[in-house]
This record gives sequence, structure tokens and C-alpha cells, in this order.
Amino acid sequence: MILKRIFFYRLYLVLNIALIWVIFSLIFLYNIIEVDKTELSKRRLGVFALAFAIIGLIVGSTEAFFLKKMFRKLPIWLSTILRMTVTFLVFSLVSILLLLAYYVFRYNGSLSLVEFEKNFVQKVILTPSFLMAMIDLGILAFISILMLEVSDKYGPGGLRNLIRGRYNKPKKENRIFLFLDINDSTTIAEQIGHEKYFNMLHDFFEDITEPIIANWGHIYQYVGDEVVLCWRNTNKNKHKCLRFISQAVEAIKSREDYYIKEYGVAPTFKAGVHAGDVTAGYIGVIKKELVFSGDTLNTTARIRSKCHELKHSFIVSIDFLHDFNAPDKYHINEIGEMEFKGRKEKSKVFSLEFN
Amino acid sequence: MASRRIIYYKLVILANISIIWVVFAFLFLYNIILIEKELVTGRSLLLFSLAFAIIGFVVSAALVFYLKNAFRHYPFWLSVMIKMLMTLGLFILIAFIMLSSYYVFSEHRTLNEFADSFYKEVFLTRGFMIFMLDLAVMTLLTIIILEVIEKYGPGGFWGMMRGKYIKPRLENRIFIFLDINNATAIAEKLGHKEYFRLLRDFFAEITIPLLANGGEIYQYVGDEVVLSWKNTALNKQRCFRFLRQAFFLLKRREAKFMKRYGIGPTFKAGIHSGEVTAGVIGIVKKDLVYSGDTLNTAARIRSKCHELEESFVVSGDFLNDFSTPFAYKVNEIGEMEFKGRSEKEKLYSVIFE
Repeated sequence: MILKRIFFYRLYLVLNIALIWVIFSLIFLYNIIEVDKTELSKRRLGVFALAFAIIGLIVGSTEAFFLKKMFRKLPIWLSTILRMTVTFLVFSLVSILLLLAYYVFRYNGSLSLVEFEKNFVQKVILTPSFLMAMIDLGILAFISILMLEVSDKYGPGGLRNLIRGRYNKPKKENRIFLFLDINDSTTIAEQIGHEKYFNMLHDFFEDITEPIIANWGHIYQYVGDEVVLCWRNTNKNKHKCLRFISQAVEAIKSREDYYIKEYGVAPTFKAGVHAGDVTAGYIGVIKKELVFSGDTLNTTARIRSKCHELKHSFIVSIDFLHDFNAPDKYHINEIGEMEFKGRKEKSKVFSLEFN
Repeated sequence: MASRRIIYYKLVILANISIIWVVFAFLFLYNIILIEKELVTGRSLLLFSLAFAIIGFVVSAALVFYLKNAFRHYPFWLSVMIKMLMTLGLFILIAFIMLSSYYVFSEHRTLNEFADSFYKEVFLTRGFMIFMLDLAVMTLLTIIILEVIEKYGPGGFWGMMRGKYIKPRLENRIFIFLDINNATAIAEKLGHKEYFRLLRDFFAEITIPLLANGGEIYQYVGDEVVLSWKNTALNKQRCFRFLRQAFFLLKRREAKFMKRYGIGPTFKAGIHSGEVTAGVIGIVKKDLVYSGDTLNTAARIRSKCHELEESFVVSGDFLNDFSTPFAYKVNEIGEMEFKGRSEKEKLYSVIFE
């Protein structure tokens, strides 16, 4: 079973967002406190922050888990408005329920709607403070939505690397690279038309996202119809890399019916795996991107293109298998040799199969 | 001059950020007004937002034009701290100067008196503290926005917001694949880290002509950068102009590169145009992707540069319906197979005169 890693990944994002909510709520509150000291005491500061943390968690998780996917096909400005409306409704509902419960328990269950209306609607909803809180919430919800969108652009870990400044100076790293693309992409594109093909590509990448995250792969970039994944070069990550391939095959197979129904073809994929040194760093002034540079990448691309020639779906290099005992369920066989740039002798390449 | 375009580009970002400052200023103020109605009158609301617009403009101008790359070798969190401290200092200085001139000119008091009252009546008040805090939040937001805009590239952020590529669409585009000559030899000579810095400086240099000619950076693939324009006659001219400007700019910068790296980088480029499908792909990492044979062909044309010993190679498709300006000399140099076409297509070289 694949662990629901995407869930944890999203949860992690939500926690970060909740933290931002607390910080902002304290700032908003500070704006108020300083003006009107008597209104709020120290104790309520903690309660206020906690309340905001809970609201932030609820709003953030509805955004991340439900709403984000629901409005995917709409432009972001429109989906933002819709999502904010939904968030607002959810929040109002939650706050009304909470207040109702508070009233019921506090005043020993004597709930009369008239009294509630008198106490709640007049004293809470129709006050300027409530309006203010709503506007603050609106801004925070907006910031949350933007943050989710932006973190998607950076990819998992991308924002954290940026903030930590990990690659501010170019750094030599030993990494595993996996180039993956759909078999017979040109034929499929011609057969079903470019727009449909692009939608299929989108679905395909969506389906392999779960195995990628479950095995802690880093999506480096999309090059045309190809996706480049990477891991740090450790023994454990080599296991993960192989596990990713087998899980991705499973994931695509289990969706075969959907693809046939929607596009008339079930995609399969080929992949080339290699490991070696690259230089990592940020490049660009008006468009900044984390770039891995080095022959390792070119070699991996060439290994991937060997798949077609050697008629094997998955090819791994000798460098990847170095110091690594593949588990029994993977069958690795030598299938040929190829020239690697900067090496006198040809290096061996192997096919990967599993049952 | 080309660099005017960069200033223009930065000014657009600046104007947008100033608007965000004003919006937030209203919100912050709104928080205060509601609690204490008498504190703020209608007239000072306008003044307040104007003040915030000016402050926002000054702070983000300082960030955009000077501080942006000042600390780029530090980790992001550290550079943010330093930048925030600097903007805070800048703001206090401005506030001091403005208030002091206000005092001296409109109330005819001396500077000494002012300094006294400045500390007591402005600097140490709670209102000022709140203001500083709000300002710090705004500065942080500005820094983050600038960073995010940079990730998306020019127009990328608004394209995302507008949902331009939510549905994949067919576009006719020009592509340039561009990379440094003798990359492997240079990398071996300089060592990989130093080579990476050279690459970074090289890409920074060609950004200026790129912006001046309205090009878009599609992506960096290894040591290569892929640039793109919409396919129009005007953009074809711009595309040529970009090559020319980049070529001569690098020549002018040769001495600088020689001094720093011992090598003056030159580049080769392959140009092609045609139809691609554009759309956003990915779930946890989203990116705008152009898909289609046009890109593969452009990459192959670029790799022909080496074979044909030409710096700039252009496809027949690009030159179709396009009369090249006088400053460029275009010669037929060979043929190449294009995927999906039965006949070979002609290739041309470009030389600047």
C-alpha cells in the first residue's frame, strides 16, 4: 500500500499556514491593543492566538484538501473569490455553532432562540469588531490561498530550500536522476490531437505524483513531455527510486480503464536512471530557478533515450548500481554498453524488471 | 538603451507593490478607526493612505533597485532580516527629516526643540510602535512578493492568476535554444563551481537584451536556456535584435569576464518557430509547459550549430514570411530532417554586419 504521503505533505503546508495566521492575528490584535488597552487583557491574548490558530487550521485544511482541487479548472482570481466565499460561509457556520454551544453550556441549557438572537446577533455580529475580524480573516484566507498556489510553483521543499539559502552558493552534490516519459508520445499526440494529449499528460503526471511523494522524490523539472526526478545519492534513496518505478507502474496500470475510456489509449512509460555529481545553484535574474548542471544529466537523458533502442522500459546505469544490492523482487540484467562523456571505456547499462 | 526596459519592468512591479501597501494601510487603519473613532477623521484617512503609498514606494524602490541582489550570497532569512533593518532605518530617517522640516517651516521652531519633542512625542509613543510593526510586516511581504515574482518570471504571475493556461491551448511561438560555446572544456578548466558562477553571470548579462526585446525565459535545461516569443513578424525582428544585442553586449563585457574567469564566453543559438500546446502541468509542482515537436526540432537545430560551425542557425519555418532587416546577413547552409515531414528542410546562418 502506498502511504497517503500527499496528505502529509498537504498537512505540513496547512501547519505552516496556521503558524502564519497566529503571527498575523497577533499583529492585528496588537494594532487594537495598543489603541485600546483596557479592552483586552493578557489572558485573552493567548485565547485569541489559539482561536486564530484553530481557525487557520480549519480554513487552511479546507483549502488544501477540498477546495483547491474543486476549482482547479477555473482561473485563480475566480477560484480565489469562490474559495473565499466558501471559507467565509464555513467560518460563519463554525463560529455560530461554537457560540451556540458556548451559550447552551454556559447558561445551563436554557436555549431560547429569541435570547440567542438578542445576545448573539446584536452583541456579536452587528458590532464593528466582528466586521473587522471578518476583514482580517478575509485577508488571511487570501494569503493562505496564494501561499498554497506559490508553494505549488516551488514544489515540495523548494520554498524551504530558498529560505534556508541552501543553494545560494553553487554546491556540488551527488544525486540520483530519473528521466521519465510516456512511450510513443508522438504517435499518441497525432492520434488523439494535441489538446487531448496535453490533458492526458496532465492526468499522467497527476497519477504518478502520489508515488513520487511517497518515495520522497524531488520533481526537478518538466522538459517537454518528460519529467526529471531526483534524489540525494544514498543507498536508502536508491531503494526509494526503484520503489517509485514499481509503484508508478502499478498506479498507471490501475487507472488503465480510465485512460482507455477518456483517451482511447493507456499510457505506459520508460525511464532512465543514473547517479553522479552535479553542481546545484540558482540561476537567473528575472526568472530564478534552481538548476542542476553537469554531464550526469546529459548522460541520464541519453540512457533514457536508449530505452527505445534497446527495447527495455527501464534502464539503469552501472553508477547507480554501484555499492547497491537491489532487493530480490527487482530483476536487473546487463543489456549493453554505452559511452559516457569523459570516460575512455564504455560503461555498462542494465535493464530493470519486476514482478 | 536596453537597460531602460529593465527599469520600466521594475517600475511596473513597484507600482503594483505600492497598491498593495495602500490596501494594507487601509486595513491597518480600519482596525484602529473602528476601536477609536475620534482618533482618526476622514481627512487624515486620505493622508494616511497617501503616506503609506509614498513609504511603500520608497521602501520597495530601495528593495527593487538596490537591496535585491545586495545580500544574495546569504541565506534568505538572514538577508530578509538585514533588509528589514535597513528599511526600518531608512524609514526612521525619512520620518525624522519630514517631521523636522514640517516643524521648522510651519511652526517656526528650532531643530533642538524638535529633536526633543520628536523623541518624546513621536518616537516613544505607542502609535509609532504600531506603525513600525505594520511597516515591518509590509516590508516582509514586499520582499516575499519580489522573490515570488522572480520565480514566475515576467508576466508569469499574472498569467497564473488570470488562469491563462488552465486549459491547454495551441500557440504559434518562436523558440531560441541558446548555450555557451565549449561548455565542457570551460567547466573542466574552471572547475564546476566556478563554471556555475560563470553560467550565472552569463545568464544575468543576456537578461538585459532579452527584456529589452520582450522575450520570455521558458526554462533552463542544463547549461542551456530556452527563450520564447509569440510568433509575429515584429517578434521575429525582436528575436534577431536580441541575438545581436546579446552578442555585442558579451563582446563589451569580455574584459570583465576575462578578469574574473580567464575566459570570455561566446554563445550559439538555434531558432525555430511553430505550433506548440501550452498548458500548466503538475500537482505538487506546477509549471507552464510547452509541448510539441517544435521544441525538439529547435533543440536539434541548436545542436547543428556545432556541426555546421555556425554561431546562429535559423530554420526555414522561422524565415517564412519574414524579410530580414539589412543589418543581418542570412545564408543557406544546409538541410535537416524534421520529424513528421517527408522532405528535408533548409537551415540558414545569421551573421551581423
